[in-house]
Amino acid sequence: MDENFSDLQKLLRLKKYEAPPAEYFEGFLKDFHRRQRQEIVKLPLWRIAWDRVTASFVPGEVPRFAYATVTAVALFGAVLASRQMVSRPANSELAAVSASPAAMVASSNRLESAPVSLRLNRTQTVAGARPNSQVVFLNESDFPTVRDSRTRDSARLASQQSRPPRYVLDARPVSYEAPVSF
Amino acid sequence: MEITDAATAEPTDDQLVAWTQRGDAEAFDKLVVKYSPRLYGLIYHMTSNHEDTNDLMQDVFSKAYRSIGGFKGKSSFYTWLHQIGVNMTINFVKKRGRRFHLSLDDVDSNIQNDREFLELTASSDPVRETNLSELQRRLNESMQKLSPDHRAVVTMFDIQGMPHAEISKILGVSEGTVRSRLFYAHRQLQNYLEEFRQ
Repeated sequence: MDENFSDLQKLLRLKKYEAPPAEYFEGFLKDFHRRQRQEIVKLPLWRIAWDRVTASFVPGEVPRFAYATVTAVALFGAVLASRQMVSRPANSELAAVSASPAAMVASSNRLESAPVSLRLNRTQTVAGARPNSQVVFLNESDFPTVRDSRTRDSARLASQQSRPPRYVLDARPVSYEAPVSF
Repeated sequence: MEITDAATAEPTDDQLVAWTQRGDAEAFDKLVVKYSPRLYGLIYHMTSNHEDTNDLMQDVFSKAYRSIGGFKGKSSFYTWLHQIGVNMTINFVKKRGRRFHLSLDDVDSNIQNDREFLELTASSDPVRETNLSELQRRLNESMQKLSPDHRAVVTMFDIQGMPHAEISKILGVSEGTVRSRLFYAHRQLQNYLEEFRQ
């Protein structure tokens, strides 16, 4: 044998003479039909469906950009899921009902009576401002006002009143405290 | 699309595939009869076992029949069938691992008239002195020592005489990869068959 493998290749080519007798191929088709009939009886439905799905792909060929698309979809899904996980505690029901309805009404009234000092608008003049200084005008909508919070609170109250009330005990009642004994 | 040979009026592969896709099972039978000898050669030389080859042949044609609805004709039916055959055989050989035994077909007596065989026995003392069944066993054992991927390339190129381009299509790798696998496999086989060196 030489370094060009020519003698080795001649030897390998002789393997083509290893073959079953001609009768084998004549009987093969009958065996194939028999086996197909058996398979149809045995095959579960999910397997038939799976074969039909995989049949739409050419074996050994992956569509162009398939991996990139799958990765992008997975990343997008992960971002969506993580955003939902982050925003959930703020909207959770437990946080909404942590204060009783009576306490919320009281706090709403207290806020209403408080003086409003941070309202600025364009029509107001800024006293004491120097001629060249930069004056920033703020709109009412830039800041949540007491009226806004009251509207939000009343909407939340209305939604809670439509449901049966829930009470969460934050501390142990006084009567359950251990008596001081000497 | 291939053109039907007017002299023999044999339908082309594309026609047979189209008829099968429309539900004509007999058209698929014709494809089975046409390609089973070549598919047998591909699987047999990778497994070196007649019974395993028979089972795999059945599985390959079953899968091809179930999947033929998805065959779009981007490659020839022959290439597509060989893709299924090679993939299933490589998976089988990997699962089988080292637990195998040779179950070899008889060597056709026509080998005695083969020009290359005559050249080899005339030029190489070891080949002349080794009897035919021993030579066959040694060749198959050496093939089984190769990895499944290398075995597939040697089978298709050296035994079945496929061109590099066809093999690269079937395996879904570049022609360069096919050539490098062939070189590596030849070097390994040469080491295993060292005693047949003159």
